[in-house]
Amino acid sequence: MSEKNIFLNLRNVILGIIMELVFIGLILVTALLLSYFIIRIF
Amino acid sequence: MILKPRLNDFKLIGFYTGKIIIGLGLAMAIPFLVAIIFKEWEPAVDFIISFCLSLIAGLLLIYLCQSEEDMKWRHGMITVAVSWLMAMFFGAIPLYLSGHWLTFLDACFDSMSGFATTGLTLAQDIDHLSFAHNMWRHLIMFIGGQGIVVVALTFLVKGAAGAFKIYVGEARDEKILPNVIQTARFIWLVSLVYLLLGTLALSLVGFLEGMPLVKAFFHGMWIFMAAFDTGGFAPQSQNILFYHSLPFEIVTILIMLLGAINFKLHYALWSGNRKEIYRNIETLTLFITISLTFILTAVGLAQLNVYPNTMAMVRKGFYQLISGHSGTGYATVYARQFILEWGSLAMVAVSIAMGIGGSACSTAGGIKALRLGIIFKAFRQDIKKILSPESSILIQKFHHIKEVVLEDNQVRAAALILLSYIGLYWLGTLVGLLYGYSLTESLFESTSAAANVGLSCGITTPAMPTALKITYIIQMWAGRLEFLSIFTLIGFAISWFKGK
Repeated sequence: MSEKNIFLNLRNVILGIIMELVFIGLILVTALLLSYFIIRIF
Repeated sequence: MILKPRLNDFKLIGFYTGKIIIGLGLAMAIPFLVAIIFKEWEPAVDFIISFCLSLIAGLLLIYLCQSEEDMKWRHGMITVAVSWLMAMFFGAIPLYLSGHWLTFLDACFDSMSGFATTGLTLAQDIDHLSFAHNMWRHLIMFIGGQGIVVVALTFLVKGAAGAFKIYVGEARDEKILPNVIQTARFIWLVSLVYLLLGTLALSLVGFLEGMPLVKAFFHGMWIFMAAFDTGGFAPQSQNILFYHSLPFEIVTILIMLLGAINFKLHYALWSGNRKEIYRNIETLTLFITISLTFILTAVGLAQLNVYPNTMAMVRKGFYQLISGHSGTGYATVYARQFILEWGSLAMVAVSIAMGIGGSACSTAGGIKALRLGIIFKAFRQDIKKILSPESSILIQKFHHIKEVVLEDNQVRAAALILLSYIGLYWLGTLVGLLYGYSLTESLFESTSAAANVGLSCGITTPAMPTALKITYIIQMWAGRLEFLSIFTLIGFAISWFKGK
């Protein structure tokens, strides 16, 4: 495979980073909801 | 039959180790420049001395160990294991010369902690450490997270013939691109892109929170280096608690989790395969284990009424949990609060999270989500087999970049590493128990060291027993290299006596 494989398309890189941030956001929202319900239960 | 090592075996190992030591010495130019910029003359001298010693040792090794033989698997593995010990030794010299570490062993502890991206520290009065030494502490974390060998592969090794053999020794058995040098460069590409974005975000937050611009920039860069490489060093003794800032905590959570993602997944996402994040066995396993361990942590904390509202629970409970799970070790609570306030359930939950760790082929330590996912799939397959008619043939698949058929050798490899980690966690726990620490404390600190996390419940201090310091150094080393290269080194030493 050629050397230029590591030089990726900028649009794809930005969308890739956004997808990673969305995934992390999902974890954060889940944590917020879990905290809210667990504190209410206890 | 085990063969006795020949002189050429030592020469090959010595030659590549020499190259890696020189690479490390060259890296000292960065803190040296920082010392010059900030007119820190004494630290500048520390780095000149350390650079000269590294250069002399590296050049001597290269000169004495020239060999025309090709590198074999065992050479690659042993080179990695030895190089990491050498890196610890030479990396500790500037730290020791600074006077902030009481003994050379303490400096070696911090050096290994840095390279292995652990974050446990024995430094004295860290708040008054020079810019140059702080730069070095965080830089070794960045280098160690990328992999000392990855750094050497990128800049010092020409040709990929022997490169893959030392690359695998550093617990990176996944090639992202067909050529291992390209793989090493892609790892750098991801890290440098995030270094730019992360430093910018953290500097901005620090500046808006009232820090002077230069200080905000350096703190931003250092915190990024240690967070993305899931290390955990910080320029202040209070760690992230020093900043008392919600935006700072959110940005560090983002960076810690980005660092815990597999570089192969970064590549898939960055090259247009965006659905991969929701299909990959590793991200799904991470999501499940983070949620489950957080439920345990939150229940433990809620039972004791430690954090009475949602925001406090997230900023304290979830932050330490993510810091532990990603293998970073950043803390927004004091070390002794774990023992005095958190209670056993929350501490054990964080210990489990630390033990699991992040993704394979990331900068995180621990068992890794991929292995846990594979073992879970194997259990599922076995249960399905029992419930299915005897004549049926079951094929279990999992998704990791592509559909992969689950095979026995994958399960065996995952189970062996899992068992090795559990053994390593218990080794440190037992030594802790021998010195009179409680089971929860010992397990917490030992898991933190072996999984390269860096959260501390207060055991790690300069006054801790020497044997415990050495145990944690071995745990950090073995945990970071994932055993194979260390077992090969042990086998090599045994073959010196028993080989034919």
